Amino acid sequence: MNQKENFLKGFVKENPLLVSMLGMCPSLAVTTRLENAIGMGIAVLFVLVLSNLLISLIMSHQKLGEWVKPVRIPVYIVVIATLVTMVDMLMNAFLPDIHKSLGMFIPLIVVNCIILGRAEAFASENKPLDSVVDGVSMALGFTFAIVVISVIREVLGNGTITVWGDVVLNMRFIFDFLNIQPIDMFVKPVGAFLTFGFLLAGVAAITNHRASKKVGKVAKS
Amino acid sequence: MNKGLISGLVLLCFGVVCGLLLATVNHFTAGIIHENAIKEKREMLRQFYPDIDSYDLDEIELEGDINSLYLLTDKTTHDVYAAIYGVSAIAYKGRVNMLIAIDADFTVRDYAFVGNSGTEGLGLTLADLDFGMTGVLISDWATEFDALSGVTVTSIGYGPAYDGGVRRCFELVAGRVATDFGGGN
Repeated sequence: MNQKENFLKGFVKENPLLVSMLGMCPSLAVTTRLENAIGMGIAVLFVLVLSNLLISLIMSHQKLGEWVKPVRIPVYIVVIATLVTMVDMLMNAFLPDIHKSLGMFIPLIVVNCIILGRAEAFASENKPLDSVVDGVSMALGFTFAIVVISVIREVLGNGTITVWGDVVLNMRFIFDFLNIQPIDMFVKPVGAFLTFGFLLAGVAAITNHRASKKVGKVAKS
Repeated sequence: MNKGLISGLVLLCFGVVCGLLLATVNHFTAGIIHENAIKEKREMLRQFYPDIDSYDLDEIELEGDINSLYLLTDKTTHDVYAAIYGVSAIAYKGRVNMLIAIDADFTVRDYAFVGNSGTEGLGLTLADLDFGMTGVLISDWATEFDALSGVTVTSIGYGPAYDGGVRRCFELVAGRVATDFGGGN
């Protein structure tokens, strides 16, 4: 796999949320506003890239890798927990509003399966540069998915898109045009599951369509 | 060397390195986080005292139903200008959390409800209700407390549901003011 493929795989082909379905709980919980999704994406990007880099550096060192191997999972957890605590402190200091909005879900990144999954499945067996690219790819793919979910939920549920802080796009004109009120259900948990379900169906339909096209081409040739 | 011992030492080393790293980050962020917290509290109390920046703000954490006390003191003389109590009490509909601001002359400057969303479906919150306590001497809370003034047709079942809790909050604060400052009761 070249670097371009390594970078692009996280967006659709191996998207951690829409294909592997990892890290669903915080994703569904924080996607009530676009701002939250962006904040969560930044936090996951920081943790995933650095944890992949550090774990790859540790495991690719011959002697250190040998010592760590029997206790690699606790070591990964220590590394990830340290990075998450750093993000928590930095966000609390420099992005207090987002920190308050994301609440418990920042510390919970420690148990996000995407982070530990990539550490064990990719970073521990690949070179540091590849692991960084993998981390960026997966984090951006994750961010892309939660941004899409949050935009759908916020527009349908509130009639707004809260980009960041006071930058709020008013989308009420859609509801005014249709002469209806925003659908409150979409900012509630049921709306998260519905949106996620429709997105999964969409991704599955696209994947199946592509697969059937490929089969058709092979059959013709 | 024993494999278990090596594993233990590896984990210990990682723990120490990560601990040091976190201590370093904490060293840089703790001050900013503390400043943010003070700023947030000032903003919260600004609803009672718009000129809050002219005073020093001290927070005293308490245990029990009265969980916090914010003291506004003069920056030069250090005289107490006002006391704002964070108080909580159980009501029929749930717990009532309030901030009650008391001026130096023991009158109630104002009060606010914290974290009581009320009946969201009806768009009704505790903040919509007026218990007629603004400007009242805190020692006279029992006679001045008006459970009905803020109750509208839509809130007729809602006001009384929280009434007992709000009443208890004022009672607690009146007692506390008497203990802390020897007045108002």
